[in-house]
Amino acid sequence: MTTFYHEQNNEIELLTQAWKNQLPVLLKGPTGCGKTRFVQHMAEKLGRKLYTVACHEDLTAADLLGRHLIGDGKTYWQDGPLTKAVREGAICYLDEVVEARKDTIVVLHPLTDDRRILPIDRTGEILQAPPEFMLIASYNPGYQNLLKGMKPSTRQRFISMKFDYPNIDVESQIIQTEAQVDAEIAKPLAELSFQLRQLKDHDLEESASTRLLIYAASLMKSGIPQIEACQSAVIEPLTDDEEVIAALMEVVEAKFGE
Amino acid sequence: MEEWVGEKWHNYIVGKSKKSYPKAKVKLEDFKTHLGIFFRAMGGEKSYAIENTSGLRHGGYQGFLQKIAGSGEKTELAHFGSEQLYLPSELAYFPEKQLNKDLYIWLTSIASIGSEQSDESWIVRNQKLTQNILTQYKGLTKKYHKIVEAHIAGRIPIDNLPLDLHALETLILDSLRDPFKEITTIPKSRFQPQVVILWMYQAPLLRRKGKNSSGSEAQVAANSSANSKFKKKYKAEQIEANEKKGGLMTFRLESLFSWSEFVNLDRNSDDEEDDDAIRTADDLDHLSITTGETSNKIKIDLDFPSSEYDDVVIQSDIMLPEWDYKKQELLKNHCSLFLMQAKHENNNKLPADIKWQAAKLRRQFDALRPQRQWFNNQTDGDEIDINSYIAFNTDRLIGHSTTDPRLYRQLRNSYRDLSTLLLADLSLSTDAYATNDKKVIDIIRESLFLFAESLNASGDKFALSGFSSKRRNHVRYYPIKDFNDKYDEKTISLINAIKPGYFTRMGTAIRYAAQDLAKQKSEQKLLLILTDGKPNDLDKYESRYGIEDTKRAILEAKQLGLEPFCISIDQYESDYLPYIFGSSSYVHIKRAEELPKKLPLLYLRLTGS
Repeated sequence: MTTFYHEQNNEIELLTQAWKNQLPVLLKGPTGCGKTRFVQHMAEKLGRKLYTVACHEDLTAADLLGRHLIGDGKTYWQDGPLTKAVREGAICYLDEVVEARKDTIVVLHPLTDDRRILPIDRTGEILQAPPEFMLIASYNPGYQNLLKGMKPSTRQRFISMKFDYPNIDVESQIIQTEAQVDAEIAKPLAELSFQLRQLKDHDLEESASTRLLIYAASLMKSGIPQIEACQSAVIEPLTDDEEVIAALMEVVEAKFGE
Repeated sequence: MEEWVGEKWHNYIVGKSKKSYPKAKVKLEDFKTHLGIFFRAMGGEKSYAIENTSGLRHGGYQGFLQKIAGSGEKTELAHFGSEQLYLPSELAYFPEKQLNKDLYIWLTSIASIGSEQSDESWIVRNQKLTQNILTQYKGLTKKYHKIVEAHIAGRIPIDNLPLDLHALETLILDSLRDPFKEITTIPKSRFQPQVVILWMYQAPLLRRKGKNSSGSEAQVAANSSANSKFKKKYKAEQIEANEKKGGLMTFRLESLFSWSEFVNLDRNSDDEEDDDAIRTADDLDHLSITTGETSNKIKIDLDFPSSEYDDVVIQSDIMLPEWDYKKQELLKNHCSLFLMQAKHENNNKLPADIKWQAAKLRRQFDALRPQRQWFNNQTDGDEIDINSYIAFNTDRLIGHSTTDPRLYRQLRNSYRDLSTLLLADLSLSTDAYATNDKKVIDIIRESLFLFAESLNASGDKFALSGFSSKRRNHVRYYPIKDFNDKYDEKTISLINAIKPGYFTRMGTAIRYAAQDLAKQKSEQKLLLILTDGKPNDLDKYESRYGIEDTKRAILEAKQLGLEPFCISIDQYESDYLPYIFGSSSYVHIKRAEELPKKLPLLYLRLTGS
């Protein structure tokens, strides 16, 4: 059975066509709105293996391409996730790609134009990507960081797809399916998150993600009182400001109280 | 003696007539932020600020004692102003603190969906709000009924009311107890019913006066809300158009002369002349309005103070270019910039209300001070870097050997190679009030303080400056703190001395600031621009011309290798910002009063530390 994913706007068809046409894709969207889940779902649907790389500041080109390892007085070449994906015609998914340093990202460039090659300096190989290979990157445009951010020259190599949190009904369904709860729990959670999202950039830096809602629903399902579940799964993760927490708990109590 | 007795009597009778429990008093002051977040989270319009209300003369029914004491005439009731949600400044209706607190929560919840004006009767309207909230928020039901019971216990019992009011009172009580009960008709009564503290105040309690006589603020607000762009609250007075005496123009001859000084300017590149009066009005803090028709436009100029009172010029006539988008050409030496220093007294104290905040930020930023840390991959150092050594050996074994192996690690001070220049808009518009007690300039001042305190604590290189302008031949640029200056008492008194100036020729100021910042040797240079409105000046520097020039100046700054970023506290969401600065290089802070707190955190976010 494939991983559950609830389509919002034709993104499944779009990604399928991008894959068929050998185009790299960039997914933009806020934290926890389902980007990674979507990629998982699509990899299963297209029948490709998925290599996920969580990008971070210290990610080097060698972490993507591969490195030599030593053993028994010999050295062995170990493929990195990107190289593996190219060799196997798999999907390589770079999560939070802006976190990686710009010079690391440059190794992707020859893969993302019509050449679709991956030169590996260390071994002297030049790999030609098979038609099934696909590169997907994701990032969260929500937080601004002047000193990080994607070079336009990198960004222009991708087809971009925008993601956002689903509307109340869809989100409620997602919660129901994911946490195996019924609408009575899912619906007020979805409504709560809709309201919390109004506070973004105002009282909160980030809004409540669908993921957090699913956590909350799971806690409720296993018997944690609803208000408590909301506090630890939805409110506390959003902020450390005591005053904001107290005010948001007021909303939770209004929603879930007796 | 008479006075003393009077006072005692007043206190006694007021205490007797007014049901209140001072011990259980809850103050809005302590609760405002909390309620603000709650209000917005419940879906309330974000632009509303929560404020104290003064007592409203409601005309509702009062008991005998209250009449004698005169204490019941005014009650603090929740209601909306044009930009505020007014809540009672304190609540002590109920003997339990929690209940008074719950009443605040309740009022805020119904207010969150009740900001729209409606023509329905007061009772029907509030009942609808109550129904909506109770359906959406099951958790409030219990609280609601508790408050209702406590409130009903405090009302004058129905038997003590005039007969005429019985039917209405019954209806109100029913509606309170069972808000889902349908109201068919509202009984008429000679008397106004008693106030219901759980409900939003809406005028019907008080008969509206035919013509709006009490000041024109409401009028202006109503007129201006037709065009949301002009929602600014002008301090306005209505003046009758007085034709006989020649009206206001004859008394303003001197300003007419000063206007004629630049009439001969080439204004043919003006795009939308009709907006001029409005835009100039934006820069005034006092506006006189006649109700008659007029086809004239008034243009107002500002005079500089005499040199004796004016700030000190440090350097004059620094010539800078300007971009003319119509000619598509950079006009060389078009603007003249003056380096100025404000006359400052030795006021080297931080404003009292930000002291605590400053201390907190200092602690937070102190943690960011450069620390000693290990650097890997060095050609020389104290210890062997195992990873580099392994990599080197593997490379050697497969035949790739490098001549310059970096095999060591070293303990060194790291530092952020970053210089930041904060350029603040000190135009006349900053003289406007942003909140009830603070002007925009005060908020900018506090922001400068907290920013400086923070960066000083973290040891980052920074400079502060401000600007305003009066046409192209006089752009005033105030360097408050240079990169090399220490953040000391002089800087503090200079920040204390900033005051609203004239207009906003933003492009010129940005060009100068960019040149200054570009001289720094840091690898990364951040130019923060703090503004409360669009670029504008008295001559053609307004609307598109000003925006295009500023955009150009930003582009030039980027070419110098700077990272410009704009922080706007403009009252309206402004579509010109992304045009000038690019979609990811600006932030719009809707509630200006939050800027001082947010600015240092924004800096952290921008620099990713």
